[in-house]
Amino acid sequence: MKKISFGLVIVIGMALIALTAPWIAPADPHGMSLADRLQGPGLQHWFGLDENGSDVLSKVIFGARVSLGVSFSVVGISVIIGLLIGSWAGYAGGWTDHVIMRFVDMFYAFPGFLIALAFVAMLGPSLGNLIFALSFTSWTGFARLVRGEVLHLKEREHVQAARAVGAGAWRITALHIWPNLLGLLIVQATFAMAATIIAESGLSFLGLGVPPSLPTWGSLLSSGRRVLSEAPHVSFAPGFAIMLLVLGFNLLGDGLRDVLDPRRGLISS
Amino acid sequence: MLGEQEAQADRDSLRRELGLDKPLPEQYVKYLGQLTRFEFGRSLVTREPVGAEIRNHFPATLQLSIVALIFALLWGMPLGVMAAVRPRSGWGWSAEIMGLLGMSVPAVFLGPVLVYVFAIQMDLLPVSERDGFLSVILPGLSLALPLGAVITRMTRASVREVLNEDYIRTARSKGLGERGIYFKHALRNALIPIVTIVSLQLGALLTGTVITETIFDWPGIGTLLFSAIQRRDYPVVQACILMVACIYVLVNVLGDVMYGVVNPRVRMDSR
Repeated sequence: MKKISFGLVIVIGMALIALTAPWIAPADPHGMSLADRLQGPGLQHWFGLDENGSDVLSKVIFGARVSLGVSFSVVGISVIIGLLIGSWAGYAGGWTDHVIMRFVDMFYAFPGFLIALAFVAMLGPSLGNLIFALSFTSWTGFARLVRGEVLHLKEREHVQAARAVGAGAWRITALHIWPNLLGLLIVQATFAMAATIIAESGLSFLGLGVPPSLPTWGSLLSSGRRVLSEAPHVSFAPGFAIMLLVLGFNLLGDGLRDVLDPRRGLISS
Repeated sequence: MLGEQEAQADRDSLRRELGLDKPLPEQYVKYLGQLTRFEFGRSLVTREPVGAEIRNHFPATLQLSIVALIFALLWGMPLGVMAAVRPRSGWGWSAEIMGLLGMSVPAVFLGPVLVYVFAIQMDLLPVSERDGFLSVILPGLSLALPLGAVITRMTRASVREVLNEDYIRTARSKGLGERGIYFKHALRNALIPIVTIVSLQLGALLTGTVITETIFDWPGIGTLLFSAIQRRDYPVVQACILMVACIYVLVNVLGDVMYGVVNPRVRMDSR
């Protein structure tokens, strides 16, 4: 329970910061004052200034929007696609299952980060492309998970009973199988949020995320790398932000798994 | 390869040279034939054969992966075993904290932190470029922390499960020392899930860790692929992706073979 509370505080706190960014940011993240560039942390600028003289704290606050927004979209899309395809394969079974799962394996065989990297490089940096590129491989994890559970759940008595009274395949899936998947999906989605935030920051770091006009943690880290010896605060502030948010989701995932799925919690926590 | 202004004759001769005037199926069959001989064509940028480019970059990635894996196993496995044996001691807490922290620190942050602490502040280790054994330590550590975290968590979970088995009680009752029980009987039986994780992660390491290689200017497959993507150097991108997929499959097969080595129970019976 302690893990869940800590995780929730971090995640909700970050979400609030992201939502209220325009009101709580102390300065314009694009504002520049070249005379004070690379100024260290102080009372006026808590996290100091970057190489263009922009306020690092404000950039970090606005960066939370991109990180959370992109990850939430990617995980949402992945859950929906994974749920539909996994249910289809698991419920139909036989050849349908076989063909669909080989198709899923095909996506699974490539390292997702490299595929996302290639996609964004090809399509150009934009929010939509970034979300598409990251979703492209991340749905497969959900599809495999759902398929395995559905295979097992469809043999349960309540499902057999629904079938016996003549309910259709999609009705049974939606009403009698999906509710049983909820806990598992929430846990998996929480961990997927953590992984997506890391992937998004990596792509932004390489300059392959969103357009340069949007402040992101990854791009801030990338500009901080050039001035690491004289102004480490430019790297450390966004770095801590990513770490904290990812830690929040991991804590939440760990805690939820222990509660929602005690059997698995014992094995892999 | 040619500018917009080139004469039509030059364009035609380049098309002929690259074989672009042939029908598509013929081009494809020719391409497949070249693949069987490991001929990937030439880089559009450096004009070097792509095979040579890959051969030049792969040893760096291999070296980095092996070093990272050794570092990760060195801290991850013992910590995982100890945390499973004494969950309420300092070992248990360190495993918990290191596991969560290692999973949560992104490479884009860990790299700069290591550089700042060990290269800039303490001036102990070189920052970048591949030059002697010392230069592999920082990028190796940067990859080993998250990897070791996964190994710690996996080892802890799987040793904890094994500790309740009957043969552990047998080993204890026949008077075996604690060390012998944990590191010989328990760890050996707990290795299967660990081997799975390690082989999956090794696949990811060997296919080039673009970010860590970029931060440390490490001349591996990751940086080669990244620069090729940026320069639209298609033959290099194609060859890299192909190789990445092959390595992935190969390492996974290797993981399956390792199952039999660590656990005779899953060896296939000779029919």
